[in-house]
Amino acid sequence: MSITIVLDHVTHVFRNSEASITALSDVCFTVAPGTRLSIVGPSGCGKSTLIALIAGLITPTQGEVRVNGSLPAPGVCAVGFQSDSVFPWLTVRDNISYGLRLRGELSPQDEQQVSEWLEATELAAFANYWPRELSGGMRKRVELARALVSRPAAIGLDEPFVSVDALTRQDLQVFLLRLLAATPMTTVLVTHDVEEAILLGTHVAVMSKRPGTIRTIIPVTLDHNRPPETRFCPEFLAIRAMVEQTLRE
Amino acid sequence: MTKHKITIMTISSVFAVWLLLTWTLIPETILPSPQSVLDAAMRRPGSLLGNAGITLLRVLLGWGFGVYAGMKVGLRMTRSSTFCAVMHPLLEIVRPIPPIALTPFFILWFGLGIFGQVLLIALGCFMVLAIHTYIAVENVPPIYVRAAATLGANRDQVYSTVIVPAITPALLSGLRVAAGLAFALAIAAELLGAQRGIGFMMMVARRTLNTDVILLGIVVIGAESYLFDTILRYSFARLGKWTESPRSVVSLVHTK
Repeated sequence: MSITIVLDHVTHVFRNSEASITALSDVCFTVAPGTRLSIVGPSGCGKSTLIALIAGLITPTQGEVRVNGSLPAPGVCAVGFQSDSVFPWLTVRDNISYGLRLRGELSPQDEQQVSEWLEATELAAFANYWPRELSGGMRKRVELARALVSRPAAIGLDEPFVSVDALTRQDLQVFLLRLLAATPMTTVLVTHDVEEAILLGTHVAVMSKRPGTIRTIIPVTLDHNRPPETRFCPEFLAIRAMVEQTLRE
Repeated sequence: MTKHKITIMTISSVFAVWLLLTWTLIPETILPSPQSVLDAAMRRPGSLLGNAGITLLRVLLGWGFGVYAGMKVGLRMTRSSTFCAVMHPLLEIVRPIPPIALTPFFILWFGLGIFGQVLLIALGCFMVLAIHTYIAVENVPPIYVRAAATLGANRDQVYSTVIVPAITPALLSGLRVAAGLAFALAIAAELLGAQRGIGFMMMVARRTLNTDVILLGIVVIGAESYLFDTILRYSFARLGKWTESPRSVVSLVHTK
């Protein structure tokens, strides 16, 4: 039950008392059901703003965002954040079940779901740990499980793995790909890492400097099975060269 | 040496110095000896217990009402900008005034009964908690609120499942600060005008220069306040379990 995400001539301006900054200018794209759009661009080009718009945390100054045909509302599109957003006052299990518990008492099916996610994220042994007792990579897995346990139709990822070391990052990428292969989900991934963008996306959108616009969208013509070594294959390198060249233009 | 042992040694040293000073150098009226403080306690144990009880009652009532109202108002200030605009200047104006300075008015308005004293204690505790709560909410990292919103939490749920748990450690320290203040205010209020209580007992003793009773009052208040703080710490320990224990941070900067 994937859904379509549409941005229709979206412009977003941040205003404070002194100045107004145009973060996004006339951004248009459509993410088809079940596809994964990676967005790369220089820092400060409004990438994170895109995720906030899709998640319904902010509304655009101009233009329209449509998720599954309607205005984005909090709770429809799950979000993976750049910084650590795991609630430190809840145990791993309670963090994962947070979204389900907002809707009332946990049903036996919910409990089952939570246990399955604990298994899938290899956190079953840590179910009753506090987040402060976990490593950064484990906390990222808690965050993903928490976002995905209620089976959202779409997910926006805002530099989700930027805070962990390079090897953990690769593990998390493999982990995320496996999850998305099991339950296809319309995905928007924002990153400054070109390799990550290609590895995780079915398309890569390249943004310009601020005010951010979409310069081009490059399809990723790799198959669905993408182990970490994929990044050394010629096809991958060709796409990478293309993306980097567009970024530099 | 363990921390526990050091504590016992410190207390017994203070006690030893006290004992030594009163035996040798200092006359009884200037600094009563432990023995005479004990005698003062045993002279009329019933009245001592009564006074200690009434002071404790005032503290508990004032503290209870004060911290409850303070937390309510502090939270409300973060939920409604109009309410905040009304309350903020009021709090800022009243804050620098020590509640003790208001005692003459409280006696004038409410007499020497328990009501005025409880109200005074409540006012002090209210100020502490209102400000503690407000600042604690301001310091909650916005990422948690955004995360909760994307997981489907509405405004009320954001408060009950994110803001309240996130500020709990700060509230606990506010509760303890307020408890200390409550005892100080109770004694001050009783010194200035009351018909019962430890402060009243000390005031009467002062008129007759019964320094042993004054010192007894100090010891009783110290004990009550320490006991209350210990109970607070233990009963709320479970709520703050998720944070790094503050002692562990202190241990990083400690020298032996």
